[in-house]
Amino acid sequence: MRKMHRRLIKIVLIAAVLGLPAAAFCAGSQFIPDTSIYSVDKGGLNKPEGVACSSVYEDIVVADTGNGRLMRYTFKGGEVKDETEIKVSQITYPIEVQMNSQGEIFVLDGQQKKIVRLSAKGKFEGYVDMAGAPDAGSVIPKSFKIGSNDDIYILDIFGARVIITDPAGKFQKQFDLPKDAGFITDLTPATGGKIILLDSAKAVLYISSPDGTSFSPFTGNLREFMDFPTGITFSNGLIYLVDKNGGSIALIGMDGSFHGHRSGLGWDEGLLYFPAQMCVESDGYAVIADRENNRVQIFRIVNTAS
Amino acid sequence: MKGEGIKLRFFKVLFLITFMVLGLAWAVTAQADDSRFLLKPDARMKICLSCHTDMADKLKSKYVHSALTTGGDCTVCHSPHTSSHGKLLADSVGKLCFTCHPDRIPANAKSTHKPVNEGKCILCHDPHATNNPFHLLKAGNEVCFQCHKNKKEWVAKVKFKHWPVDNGCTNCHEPHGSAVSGFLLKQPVPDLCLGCHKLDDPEIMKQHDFYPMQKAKCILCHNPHGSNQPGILYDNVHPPMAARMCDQCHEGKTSPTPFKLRATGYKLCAKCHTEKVKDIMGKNRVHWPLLSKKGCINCHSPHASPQKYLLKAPMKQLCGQCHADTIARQDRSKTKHKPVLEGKCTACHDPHSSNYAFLINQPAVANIPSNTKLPWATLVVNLCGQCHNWQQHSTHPVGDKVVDLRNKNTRVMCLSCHRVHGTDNKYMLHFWPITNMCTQCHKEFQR
Repeated sequence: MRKMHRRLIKIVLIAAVLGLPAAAFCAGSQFIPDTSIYSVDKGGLNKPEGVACSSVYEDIVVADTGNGRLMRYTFKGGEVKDETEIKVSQITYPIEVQMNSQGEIFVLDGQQKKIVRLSAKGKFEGYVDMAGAPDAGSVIPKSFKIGSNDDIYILDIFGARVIITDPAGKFQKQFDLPKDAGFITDLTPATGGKIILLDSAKAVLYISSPDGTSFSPFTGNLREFMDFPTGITFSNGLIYLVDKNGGSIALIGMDGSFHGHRSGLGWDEGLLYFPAQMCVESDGYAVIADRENNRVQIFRIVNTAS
Repeated sequence: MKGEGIKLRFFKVLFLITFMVLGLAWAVTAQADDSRFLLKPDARMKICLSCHTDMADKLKSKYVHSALTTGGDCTVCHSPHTSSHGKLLADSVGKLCFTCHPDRIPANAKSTHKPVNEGKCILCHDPHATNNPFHLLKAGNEVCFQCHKNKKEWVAKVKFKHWPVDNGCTNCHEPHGSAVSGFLLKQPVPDLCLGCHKLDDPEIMKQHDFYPMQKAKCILCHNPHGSNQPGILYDNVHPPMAARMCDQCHEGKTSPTPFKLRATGYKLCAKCHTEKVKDIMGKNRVHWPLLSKKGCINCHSPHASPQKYLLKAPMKQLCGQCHADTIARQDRSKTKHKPVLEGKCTACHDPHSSNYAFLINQPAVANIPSNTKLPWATLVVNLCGQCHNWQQHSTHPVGDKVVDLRNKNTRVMCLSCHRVHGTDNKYMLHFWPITNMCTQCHKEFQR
C-alpha cells in the first residue's frame, strides 16, 4: 500500500514537472471586470482617451480629453479613491498620458501637439523639447511611452522616426520608421531594449533589430483577428493591442502569435465602446480608457492555465 | 568553306527525315488507337459535324482554333461519351486551355489579367472560330470594352484622345499578363511612353519647363486613355503645374536635385494654402496622416488627378486604404448607409481636422452659432438629421438630457442603436432581433 502511494506521488510529481511548461504555454490572461470610473461628482468623464498607471505609486491618471483636464485617482486593493482634478492652462486637449517612476506626469496635448511635463503634484514643469535631436523643432508626436528606466520613447510622425530621450527629455538616439509600413500610430518599449511599433493601417507589428538601427515585421497581417488597433502596451511578456473599432483588447505573445480578445463592444460594464489607451497597473489590473462610454474601466488580469 | 556547306545540307536533310519519321509514327499510332477503339474513319471530327451542323458553318470563319485545323480533332477538348464538365469538356475551361497554352501567364508576372487568372478564356476567345484574329469574340478594342465599359465611354467622350488607345489597347497592354509591369503594361512607365514620345523634342522639353523627365512617372499627370485637358493631363490640374511653376514646390531645374521638395509635408502646402492649414491646425483633432512626413500628398495628388480636389483615388478607395475594416463592415452590412456606399465619407467626416471625435463635421444647428462646440448627443442627432428626419423616424427621446440606461455617463442618440458604417443586422442595429436592442436598456422586458 505504501509502495503504491509512493509510486502515485512520483507519478504526480513527474506529471507536474512535465506539465508545467505546457501549462505555461497555454496560460491565458483573462480580464475580470473589477471597477469603473465615471467621476460623476466632478462633472463626469468626457471622452477620456488616455490612462497612465504608476509603476511605483498607487496612482492612475486619466486624460479626460473632452473636458480638457486630467483626473488622478488612487487605486488600492481594487478600490478607487481620492479623486483629484488636475487642470493646467498648458493642456487643453490631452490625448495620451504617462507617468514615470518619480510620479511625474507626461501628457500629449492634441491641440498643441506637444508633450507636457507635470510634477507629481500636477504642476506644470515644461515641455519635453527633445533637446539635441536633429530638427527638434519640427517634431510632431503621435504617441509616446515611458520606459522602465524613465527614458521617453516618442513616435515623431512628421519626422517618420522614433526618438528616445533620457528622463530629462534630452535626445539620446533615433530610428527611422519602416518604409513599407502603412501608418504607424503607436509604440511601446518591450523587454531587452526592443521597441515594438503598431501599424494601424496594415494591422502589423514591427520590432526593432537587435542592433537597434531598424525595424522589421514582427507579425503578419493581424486584420483577421481585429478591426483597427490603435494602441499598444507591453506588460509581463504580453502585448496588448487596443482594438478601437472592434471594442476589445487583443493579446499578442512575444512569438507574434495571437492569444485572443478580451472584453467586447458594448455599453454595459465589462464591455468597451471605442477604447483608446490602456495601461497595466503594478498589481496586475488592466486600466482602459473607454472613450465612447465616457468612463475608465479596470479589469483584474487573471492568469489561467487552459 | 565548301565542306561546311555540305555538312549543313546533310544536317538539314537528317532533320527533315527525322521529322517525317516521327510524324509517320504518330499517325500510325493514332490510327492504331482509332482501330483499337473501333472508331469509324473521321470519327474525331467529321462525324461530330454531321450532327453539330452549326459548327460546320462556324468553322468556315476566317480564324479557326488550331486544334480544329491541324488534324481536326474535337476530342482534344471534348469527351465524346461522358464528362463531369459542361458541354462534355474533358476538363474545366481554364485547365483545358492551359494544357496546350501553358505559358500564357509569364513566370513571375507583375500583373495578370483577371479572366486569364480565373481560367475564363472564353470571355475573350471563341474556342472554335471567329472572323477576328486569335478567334477573339469581338474585333479590336471592342473585346476589351465588353468588361471595361467605363473606359469605352471615357474614350468616346474625351476631347483630347491618345492615339494608341483608338488603335488598340494592345499597343500598351498585354492581354494575358505582364512580366515587367503592373496594369498589364508591355513595358514599365516611362519606358513605354518614351517609345513614342522623345524627351529631346523641344516642345516636350518646353511643356515640362525643361525639368529632366527621364525617370518621371508620366501617368502621375497624364491620363493615358485621353482627357479633356490639353496634353491629356488629368481633368483636375494643380494650378501651379498648369502654369508650369514647378519650382514653387520643387527645387530649380538646374539644381543637382531638381525634384527635391522645398519643404516637408504640410509645410510645403501651407506656403500657398496658408489659411486652410491654419484652420486645420487650429482644431483639436487633426487627421494624423496630414501631420506625417508625406503630409497632404497622402491623399492628394500634387500634380493632376481625375478626381475632384486632386484626390489620389475615389474617396471610398482612398479612405479604405487605411480604414479597410470600416469599408468591409459596410460591404457586409445587411442595410447600407447611402453616403458610405457611395463613398461620400465627407458627408459626415472632415478629412482634415475637427473639434470632435471621429473627425465629425459640425452640423448647422438652429439658434446656435456655427463656432460653438456642441455637446456630443446634440452634434450626432443634428448630423444624422441633415439627411434623416428622425422625429418622424422615431419618437424615442434622444439628446443630451436623456441618459442611456446602460451607462450613466452616456446619452441616448442615434448611435445608441445604430452603427453608421453598418452591422450584420438590418437597419444597422447593434443587436438583433429588435427586441434584443430595446431590452438592452429596458431590461424589465427581457425574457
